[in-house]
Amino acid sequence: MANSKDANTLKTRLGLSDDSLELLNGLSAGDQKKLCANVLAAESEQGERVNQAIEGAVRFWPAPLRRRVRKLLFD
Amino acid sequence: MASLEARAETIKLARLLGQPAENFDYLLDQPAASIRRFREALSDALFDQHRQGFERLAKLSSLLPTGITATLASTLLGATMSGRVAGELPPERAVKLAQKLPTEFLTRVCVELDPRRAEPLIKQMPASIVIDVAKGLIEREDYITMARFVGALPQDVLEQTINAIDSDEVLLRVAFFVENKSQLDAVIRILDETRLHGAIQAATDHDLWPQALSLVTQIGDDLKGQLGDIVAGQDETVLDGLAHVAQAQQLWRPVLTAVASMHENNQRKVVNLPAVTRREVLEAIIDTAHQQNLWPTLLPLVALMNTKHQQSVAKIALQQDPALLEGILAAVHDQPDLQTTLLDAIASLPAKTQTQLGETAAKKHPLDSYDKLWSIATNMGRQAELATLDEAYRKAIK
Repeated sequence: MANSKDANTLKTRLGLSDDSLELLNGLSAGDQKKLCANVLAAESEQGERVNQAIEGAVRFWPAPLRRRVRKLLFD
Repeated sequence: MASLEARAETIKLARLLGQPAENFDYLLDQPAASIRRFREALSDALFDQHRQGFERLAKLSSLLPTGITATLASTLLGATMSGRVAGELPPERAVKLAQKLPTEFLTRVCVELDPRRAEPLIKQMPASIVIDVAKGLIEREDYITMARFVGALPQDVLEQTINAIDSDEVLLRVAFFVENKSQLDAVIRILDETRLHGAIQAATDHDLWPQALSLVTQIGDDLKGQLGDIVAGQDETVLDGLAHVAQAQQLWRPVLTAVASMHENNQRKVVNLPAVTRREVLEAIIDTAHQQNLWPTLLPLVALMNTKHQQSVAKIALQQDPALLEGILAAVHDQPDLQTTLLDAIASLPAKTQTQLGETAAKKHPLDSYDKLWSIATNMGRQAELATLDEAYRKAIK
């Protein structure tokens, strides 16, 4: 069962199961840290890209309609 | 040595994380199944984290005409984000969008798409688009992505796509990476005899024997036999090349599995090849059989060897560590056919060799272990044939 600090971070942040984290058991502490950092970076980058994409897509609409589109999407 | 499967899984994980594959070289020695479990769980988790965002983007696109959405996808969202959103679109809408997008962009989207999530839309994608994207992926030599979609494509589209791929080498490379191995049989059954020959030739021409052998272990027995017989039909230079690769890369397990499925005349041809009967090769084969519990597979093949090679096998087996003889005896327990093969191999040894082996065996094998072998000979009424060996053993053990 993966129970390093890095494994716990992935469990908490992403809800990954022990079974899926078995990979970490075979890695050195340094490699676990690297993998965990890469995953968290990807997670945060994806979040930014999603938000930017939504903003960009809303701007595709003519200015007078943007508020309504935003409301439609977020309400 | 990193397995090809682990390398493929590492590449897929690197793509998911938007990083170059070489950044994850430290994963190459890990089991491919562990990397895959991690990747799939991570893909789901990353998707779930931003599911709402993807759903919003999908909803937004449904408010726009298809042409504008296509422009939005290719200019603003890009391939990665489009790949994530695609699975959230109604399949009919996604197909209409795909028809408006350039193949080059669709190819990049395909690399980012998770086939597990996008299966409904993949199933509805017209064959013409699938074929164009497949050709785009071949240009990029992205066999891993192609393989990921095999399981999601309907049979008729799969068939049309395979028929549109001219290169047997490409087919072999893609087949190796197919994730859902139960689909492999379906893929191979689409190929006619000529293409199967082409795939085997490609294994020789492009150093793809490890991939070809890995496939052989994962397909149904009838196909194993069919492919195995095609392999056996190759000229001796090709078969020598295969034996060389198997020896260098420790691939005797898949080779034994393939040979075991061949017709008997082909088995006889293969097991008596000079490249297979060299001492160091036989040692490696015997070691594989011992380490991986393959004696029930190997012993019937030994029965087809010429007497000279059977003698070599018997000598090597009896000169190895005691556990090896124990392994053989366990494998032949209650298996009269295998017991006969074993006794045939020992009985075929000349008296002088039997004496030498009896003396060597006394140094390696304790009496209780040796007695199991002797009791098999006794039960089968063949003591006389092993008398020289037995006399030498009992004399030496005293």
